[in-house]
Formats: sequence, structure tokens, C-alpha cells
Amino acid sequence: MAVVLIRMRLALLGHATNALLITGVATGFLLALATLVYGTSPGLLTVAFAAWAAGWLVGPLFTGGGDGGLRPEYFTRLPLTARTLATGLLAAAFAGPGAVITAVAFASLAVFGARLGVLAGLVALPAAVAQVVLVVVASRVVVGLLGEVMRTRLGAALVALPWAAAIATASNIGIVMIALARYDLDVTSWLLFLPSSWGLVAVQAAAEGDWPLCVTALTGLVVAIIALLAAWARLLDRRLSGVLARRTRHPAGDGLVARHLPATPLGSVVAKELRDWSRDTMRSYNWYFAIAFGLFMCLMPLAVDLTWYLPWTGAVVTWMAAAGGATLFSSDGTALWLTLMHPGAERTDVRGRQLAWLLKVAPLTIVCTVAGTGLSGLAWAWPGALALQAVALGAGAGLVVLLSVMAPVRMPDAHRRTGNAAADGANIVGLVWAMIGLIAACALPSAAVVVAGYALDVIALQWAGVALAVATGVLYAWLFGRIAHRRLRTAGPELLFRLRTGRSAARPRSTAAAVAPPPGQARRRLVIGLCLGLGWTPLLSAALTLVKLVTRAPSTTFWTFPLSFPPALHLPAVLVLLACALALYTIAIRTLITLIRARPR
Amino acid sequence: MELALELSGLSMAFAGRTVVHGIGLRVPSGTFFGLVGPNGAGKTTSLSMATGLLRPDAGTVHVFGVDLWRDPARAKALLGVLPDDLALPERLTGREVLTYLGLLYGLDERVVTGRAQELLDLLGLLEAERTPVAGYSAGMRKKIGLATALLHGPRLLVLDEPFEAVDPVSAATIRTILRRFVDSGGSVVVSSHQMALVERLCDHVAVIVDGRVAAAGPLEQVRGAGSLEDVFVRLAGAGTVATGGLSWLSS
Repeated sequence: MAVVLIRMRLALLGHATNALLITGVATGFLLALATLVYGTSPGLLTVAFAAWAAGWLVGPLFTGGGDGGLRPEYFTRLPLTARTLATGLLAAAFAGPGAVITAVAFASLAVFGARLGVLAGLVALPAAVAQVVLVVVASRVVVGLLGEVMRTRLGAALVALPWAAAIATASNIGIVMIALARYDLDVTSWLLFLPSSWGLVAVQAAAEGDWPLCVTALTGLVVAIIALLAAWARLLDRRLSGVLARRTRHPAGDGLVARHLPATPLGSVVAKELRDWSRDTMRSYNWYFAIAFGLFMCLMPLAVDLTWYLPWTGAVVTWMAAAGGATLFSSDGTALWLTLMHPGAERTDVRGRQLAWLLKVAPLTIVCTVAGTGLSGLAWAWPGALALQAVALGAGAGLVVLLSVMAPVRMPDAHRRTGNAAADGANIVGLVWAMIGLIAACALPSAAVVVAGYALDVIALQWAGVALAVATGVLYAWLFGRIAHRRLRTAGPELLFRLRTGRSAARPRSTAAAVAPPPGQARRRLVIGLCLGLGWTPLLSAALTLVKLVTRAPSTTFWTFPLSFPPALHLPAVLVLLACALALYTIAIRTLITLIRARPR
Repeated sequence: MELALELSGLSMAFAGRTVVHGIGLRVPSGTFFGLVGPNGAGKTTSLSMATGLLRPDAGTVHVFGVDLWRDPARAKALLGVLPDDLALPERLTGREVLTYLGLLYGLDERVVTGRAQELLDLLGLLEAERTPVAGYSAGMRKKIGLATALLHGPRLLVLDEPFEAVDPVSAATIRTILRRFVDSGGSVVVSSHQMALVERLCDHVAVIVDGRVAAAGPLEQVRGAGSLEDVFVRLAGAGTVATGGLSWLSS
């Protein structure tokens, strides 16, 4: 069973090669190597392990459930108990890049243990394995729990809270550090109580000869794993036996706005969208996440008496609401065909969606901006906060339609969804970052004027920035919407094809070239991607090390790690790195040439 | 003779594999046209291209003489479509879906309300008044899909598997609706795997095998002396109908 599932997972992985996966894997490996190289002190290790565990808990929601495409529903017909299936799926969960990367990171525990002595090293090996198993199983349990909770709008809101808190904390780590220093909290000693540190506790106890503690910690790990496994088997059983599929019969209320819209084409699109915003748990989740993230992000600094963040609350919420709307068209799936059947309705559809997004987001965020700026008592912040709020609303309203039309992501159609955002969602990390970056780019002109106003201390210039923000905001909403509905009109069928099959509709125009792809194409592409994705790392490391060698500066970053070797090894290490890079690029180019040659003329 | 739908030279290749090889079909106005073919023969792909949902690699589509891919606005106004297995606005109830679409078509609010009520009533969807479409059964999905195709009063209906998963009573209702539509001058193209049903309903048929038209024309002409099923089996799978059972099930 487990072997079959692992083979299936690897086969799926072989078919799913894309740039995002490769970048993710490369970044993950770098982080894992950093953990391995720098994880020499217990304090650092506890923080690092907690961070890895947090990544596993938070990650699945953004990366499509983290099951690597092996949906438990595929196996409902097999005569298996939930426990057998859970064990099999767990084994398969380890046969992916994520688990391998994490294993590399947790190997630092074994290295750490070996340094402390033979006995500690012997304890460290099983402890490291148990830690990896623990985070992977915990991640699966979280996905299962999400499915339980996210069946209602309230559940979606509740789930959004911890996620938003975790990510806001992570992106605001400076404030957290200041707060910790201020209240004199020793995090690492607190983190030791978390299961992610129990392996470390066991290893340290073994080194000090404190065997009762060592055994307790190890037992704790095993018990935690068993308990999580049992929980997962139970959750899996509920998911597969259809308990979760039961739907609420009554759609939630329409809200005042949806009921009083004019009976025009545009009005009907806005009404449909507003209903979607309140009835679709995935959209509800995105919306509540945006609110919670904005509030956490901007209220957290109050803990250290910083009010500087308050004026930006509304803008941050708008920003995140736009990021959550990056899949506006994709989340409706193939329902796009209805729009395509009415030429001319593309424009109404796009404008209606924009209007509905604004109706949903603008009131609350404007209140947040006004209240936040007022409460902060920072009179100087008014022009900046208002400008950012205006431009974020305009650019957001434009980009939610533009991005979702330009970069469609295939998602299960609503009637096939499990109701679990983590299991249903596609990997949208790239889109979310793109959205955040694009809005920032859109805000640059007006932000520059406001900042210039601050720098020169010219109040008129600051308010000119606000006017510019409003003007550019309107322009963005109009222009991006226009590009989107034009695109929908000219490439609607291609977009539908993409949403239907997940494949790009780009095809050879002549049937003569239409022959089966050569065998091994997917594997070769994977090799090229991996080599190009990883090749730059040893090259950069070698280059930076050489610079440091020449300038005789001490090594400060992970990139120049060869400098931590004895001086005699500095140059050989650089040469090895260069050889690695060269080898990777050679392999990539050679495989590319083979691939091109294998392609039929 | 006016043609309701004319396909010529439609071709389509997916990932390098040609699935539709230059299909040509002529559906005379006022006919009930049946499209049959084995699984994977390219029926759904052909119908998607014929209705403007999938851009063909080559070939043309004319709806009542209007080139669908050149002048989609005029052609699609004449078309009512039920695609196979595409989503609807799933969070809306049946009535909300019809109201939304009717208004999107630019129909008057009172007209939309009246037609939605009549369609929901006739198709037996009134009991599910408060269920969002995502919660519909397979048969109910077909029915609400059909309702969306009929809503704006098209002249040509293109329906992909309209009877699949529909119960006998609803199927009879749908048959009556379609029959009356044809009697009053409308034209219908349906794809189906139910040969007996196609024989009973359609006056014209086409058999598609491996992305090519294997036979097409008036029903009597295509089936000759035998039944449509005989013709189908002869054209689609000569000699491939299994005579033995599965070794591990029949012992």
C-alpha cells in the first residue's frame, strides 16, 4: 500500500514541473542548509525547529493542501480501513520535496548531538527522525481540522484568525523582537516546551546524563505522533464518509446591498458577486484573513507603544483583500462559459466584479484608515495614509480582475470541492506575492510625491500626492479592468480551456506538427529546472567568498561559509563550489540540447 | 434549405494529438439532430467548438449563416447551449442563477421573473428553492443547465448529453419541451449515448468515430434496414464487442 502510494506521488510529481515548484524547492533547500550550517547552538536550534514546524502548519493553506495531489477521495473505493489509508498516505507524504528538505533541516539535530558525544549522537538520530515525522503528521492533521471548521462562514473567520496572527507576526518580526527584549522574555526557554524542541531536549539531556528527562522527551514525541496519527485517521474517515460533504441548505443572507441593486446587467453581476462574497467560504476566509492580518499587523506595535502603524491599517487590509482576490475568476471555475456565451457581457462581468469588490472592501478599509490615523494622533500621517488607501483601493480593484484573467489557476469546480480551503485551493503563493508587489508598484508615483512633500516639508505637495493617488487609483481601476475585459473577449475560450484542464491552450497551428511529445520530456524538463534553479547558489557563494578573500573581510553570512574552514581549504572550497555550479549548468544545457533535438521537426 | 448549424473542416489537437479531424456537419433548420459516437470520439470537443467555447485549430462554424468565430455576438444570440460538466454560479440558488443570467442578457426584469418561474416549475426545481446549485444532484444540474439554455429564447439549442442522469419523469418533460420547440420551428442538436432515445426523438443523426464523421443524414437513411445501434456498432467498433466475460468474474 505505502509503496504504491509513494510511486503514485512520485509519478504525480514528475508531471507537475513548474517554475514555482522549482524556486520553492531551491529556497527550501537553502533554508535547510542554513539550518544545518548555523544550527550549532541549542537556542538557535529551538527557534529554527519552531519555525520549520510553523511552516508546516501554516503552509498547506497556501500551497494546495500539501498532499502532493494524492487526494484521499481517490481511495474511497478501496477496501481499506481509515488507519491503513492514513498510514499509506503518510508514507507518501514523505516522498516529496518538502519532507526531504525538512529532513535536511532536522539533520542538524543529529549533527548537534554528535558534537556532544556518542550517546547524545545516538539519541539524536531517532529524535531527528521523530521530529520530522511529527511536523509532517501535524501538518496533515491541521489540513483535516480545517475541513471540519471551514464549512461555515463563521468557521472560515475563526480559521483566518490564527493564520493571520502567525503571518503578521512573522512579517513583523522586528516588533516582536523589541517587545521580547522590552518585557525581558526569554523565548528560547519557552520554545523548549513546544513539541518541536522535544528532540533537542532529549539530546541535551542525554549529553548531561539526565536519562529520565531524555526518555520522557522521547516518549513525549512518540506519544504525540501516535495521538496525531489517530486524530488524522479519524479526520480522514469523516472526510471520506461524506460527513463533511453535507451542505447547509440555506444560503446565507444577501445583505442589504445585494437586495437593492438595480435590475440591470451590471446590477445582476454585482448582486451575484456580493452573494458569492458572503456565501463562498473560501472567499469569506480570504476576506477575514485580510481584516485579521491588517489588524494584527498594525495593532501589534501598540504593545511597544508604537502608534506609527495605525494609520496604515486600512491600506494593509485593502492590500491583503486584493491578494485574496487574485483568483477572482479562477475560483468561479468553468462557470466562465456563461459569460462567453454572451458576447458583450465580458465588460459587464469585469466591471461588476470590480464594483462588488469595492463595495465589499472600501467601506471597512476607509473607516480603518480614518479611525487608525485619528487614533494614532499622528497629524502628519493623514496625507500618506489617505493616499495609500486611495491608490490601494483603485489598484486593487483593477488588479483583482486583471491578474485573475491573465494568470488563471485551475481549481476544483465548486460542486466538487470538499469545503476545505486547504485541500481545494491551488498553489497561489506566486499570485499573492505578485499582487502585493504590483500594488506597491502602482502606489509608487503618489507615494513619491507624498514623501517628497514630507522631505521638503511642503504641505501642499503632500496633499497633491493624495489627489494624485485618487486620480491614479481611478485610472488603474479603469485601465486594468479594460485590459481584463478585452482579454476576456479575445482569449475567452483559451481562458476557459485553462480553467477546465489546467493546461495552456497554446498549440501548434498546423496539424502536421501535432505529434506525441518525445518520451522522457517531463523528466528532462525537471532536470533542467532543478539544475538552473540550484546552479546559481554555489556560483554566488564562490563569488562572494572570493570577494571576501581578496578584501580580507571576515565571513558574516551563510554565503561565505568556506571562510569558516581552515585557511588552507579556502581556495579549494571555492574551486569545488565553482565546479559544482559549472557541472549543474553543463547538465542543464546538455539536457536542453537533448530535449530540443528530440523534438520533432 | 436554411441551415441552423453548419460545421466545416473543424479540427482540434490537444498536446500534439489530433482528436477532431476536419469535421463537417450540416444541420437543417427545424430538425432534431442527434449526435452519437463512442466515448472519446470527439463529440464534446466538436460541440464546444460549435458553440464558441473552444477555439478550433481550423475550420468554420455558421449559425443560421452567421460565422460564429467572426461575429460571435450575432451568432450566440441565436444559440442556447448546455455544455457537459461545466460549472454554474454555484453559490446561487436556481432562481438566482436564472435571474442573474436573464438580466445579463439584457432581458426585462418582469420577463426574467416570469420565465424563471415557468422553467423552475416545469423542470421540477421549485422544491430546491433554497438550495445553492453546488448542492444539486447530477440530474438537477442538467435541468438547471437546460433552463439556462432556454431562458433567452434561442433558435438553435446545442445540448451535450441532456438526458444523462435525469430521471424518467424529468426526461419525458425535457423531451416534450424539445419536441414542441422543434415543432414551432426551432432546431435542436443533442449528443447522447442512448440509441433508442435518439431514434425516437431525432430526424437527423450523425455518427462520429475517432474525430471523423462516419455517417450523417436523415435517420432513415443512416440506419437503413437495421437499428441505429447496429449501425453504431458496425461503424464504431466492428468486431470489438466483447463476447467473453472477465476471467476472474465468470468462474
